Amino acid sequence: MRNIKTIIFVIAFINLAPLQSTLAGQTPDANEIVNKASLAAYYGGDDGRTLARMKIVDANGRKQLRQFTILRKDMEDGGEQKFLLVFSRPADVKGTVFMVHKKPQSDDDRWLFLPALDLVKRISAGDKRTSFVGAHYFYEDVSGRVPTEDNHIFVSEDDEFYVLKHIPKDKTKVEFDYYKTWIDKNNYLPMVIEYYSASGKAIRKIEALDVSEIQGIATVNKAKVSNLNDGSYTLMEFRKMKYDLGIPEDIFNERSLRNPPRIWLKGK
Amino acid sequence: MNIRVTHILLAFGVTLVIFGAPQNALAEQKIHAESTTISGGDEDEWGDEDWEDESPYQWRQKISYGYAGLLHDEVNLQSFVFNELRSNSEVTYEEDGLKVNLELELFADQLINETELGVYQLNFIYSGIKNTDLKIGRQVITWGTGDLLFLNDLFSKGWSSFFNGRNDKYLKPPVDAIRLSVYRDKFNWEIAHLPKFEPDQTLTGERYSFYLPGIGIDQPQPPITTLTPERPETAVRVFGSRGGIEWAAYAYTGFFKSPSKMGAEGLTYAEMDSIGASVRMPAFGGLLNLEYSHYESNEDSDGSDPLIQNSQFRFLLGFETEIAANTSLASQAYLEKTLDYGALLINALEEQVIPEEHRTMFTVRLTNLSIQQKLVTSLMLFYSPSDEDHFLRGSLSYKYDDNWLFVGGLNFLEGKREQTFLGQMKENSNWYFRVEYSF
Repeated sequence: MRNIKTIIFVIAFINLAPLQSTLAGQTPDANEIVNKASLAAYYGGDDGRTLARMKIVDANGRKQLRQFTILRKDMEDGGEQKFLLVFSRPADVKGTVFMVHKKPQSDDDRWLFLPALDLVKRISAGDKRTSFVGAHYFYEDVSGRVPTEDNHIFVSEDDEFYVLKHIPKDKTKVEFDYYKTWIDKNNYLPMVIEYYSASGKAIRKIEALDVSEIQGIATVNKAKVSNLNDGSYTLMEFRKMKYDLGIPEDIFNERSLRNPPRIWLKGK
Repeated sequence: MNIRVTHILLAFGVTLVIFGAPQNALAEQKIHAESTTISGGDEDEWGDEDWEDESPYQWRQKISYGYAGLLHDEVNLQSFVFNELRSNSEVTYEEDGLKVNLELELFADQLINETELGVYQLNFIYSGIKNTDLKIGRQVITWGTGDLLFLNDLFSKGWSSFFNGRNDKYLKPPVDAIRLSVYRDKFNWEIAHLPKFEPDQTLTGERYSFYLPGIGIDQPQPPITTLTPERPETAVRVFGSRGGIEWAAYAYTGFFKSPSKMGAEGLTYAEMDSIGASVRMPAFGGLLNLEYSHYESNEDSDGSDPLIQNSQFRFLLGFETEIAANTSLASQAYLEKTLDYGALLINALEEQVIPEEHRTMFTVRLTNLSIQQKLVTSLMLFYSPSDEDHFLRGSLSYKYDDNWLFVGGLNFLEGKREQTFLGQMKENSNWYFRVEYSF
């Protein structure tokens, strides 16, 4: 009897062993990859500055251009962040300043300063999946979608990428059914994000076109968002990125809306 | 740099051509012709060297033309309330701790037959002291939480630009002021001192018809003039924010901003002090704001002098939310209570227009963005149940590209009585268009 028990135990162990190894070793944890990707894409360094410009091209090929400087400060990795965006072009939006206090657990606080009226306008939280200044980028693409909004499923991997599928927990809040990401295994940057309709058709695509290392942090220099239905797109480029400047938290206030801090926008 | 120089030359060229031309229609054609040359050039895409302009000088230019025609043409002297060409040139100089803004404006107003070149803004901002900004000169100052309703913002308003489709920036004309702003951890404060009182730009008869006691709705000629006291006014704001809730307290000493006193020498402004407070915070999936103010009429503190405006209490409740993607709805409820109302009634003169004791106003503003936010549709209704009058402000604004903006709209005013704030303006209802070219 004792032998039989031992045999059963051994067989069970042998049979389970390959299964265990698949769970532990071969199928990586999708949630862990997503959290790492979120940190890589949106939380590089403790703070940062970049010049950014967007070329917005509509379905008829007509172009609009936007140029601005972004200052960012992380309160904690994966947690609250503060952003200041100061527009320099085109002429009619020059001097317009946009400020966001991003709070992953609740609605973000957003403000806009309109220099011609000296007006600090607070913007209601609203739909995060609406266009940011007319571009194909949504507010949520600029500051990052909170990982807990979706259920994440591991799809596949090759030498270069993890491929994940993400299903929103609340489909009424978004314009897609699900999306897939191709995440670079070396630096965890999402290189391609593709959004699908309920029928499985790809409707929107975000691609990182150029990545380089800045202060040891993998950084996207050029990205493109395409509307796959009508061929319109926005090309976004970043220059003069700098991390860990020591930007103080208190500059993300009304003073900087009315009088943007040149010392942090241009200096250091 | 070459592009910039070309722009400056072209701007002056265009300006000369326009102001030399006999008719605005001709001028419009010229703007169009010149601009084709501008936008067809290298500016189509920014070159690599344009990433960061190292020059401390920045320059921009806007040329605009607008026209507003009356919907009915019975009382007013002219058939339009807006027909003007403006050219704004803005230069800023910036170095660490110092910023200088200069805005020159050249305008040709067909309504009053005037062409003028003037300094619209000229100010210096010194930020060399920690957490402190000192701004001196001609500047726009705005604070408070209302949307086109003002309680504690006692800086000059351009009411003559409120009803005719001019760019919204003219609702807040610049004033000569010294403004000191100090930002601290727990709270911030600022003080704006205007060495010379700057009243609102109210209706004079130059552009609009309105109610005249004993006469009815008319456009007075010559236009009404007022005596502006050569004395200072000062406004203070203490403000802060905690957990997304913004609060502010306000104080002011100066004068009522509209003519509020019939003196021995004519219509003038009565002394007024005020205090107030406001809160703005996220609530119910939108933004909620509350504001109150108390205006103390210093020269008529018991309300018994019918020739001087009484003290007032003002209260505002506002809520804004996104009702659909790219569509927001903002509503406001406003109360203006005239204090010592009994004393006003007893002492009122014959033919005197007495305001309602409780003047109420509701506003609803619907804003929609479409076509990559290039088309902005805005519809705002002011409705006063106490005065039984209303004002519908509608506009379609289309940004054709980074340079051209086309705006068309309607200002519709109506009221049951001739002497109420909006009702008296009913003969000025108009449609308008505006074209702006900026670079």
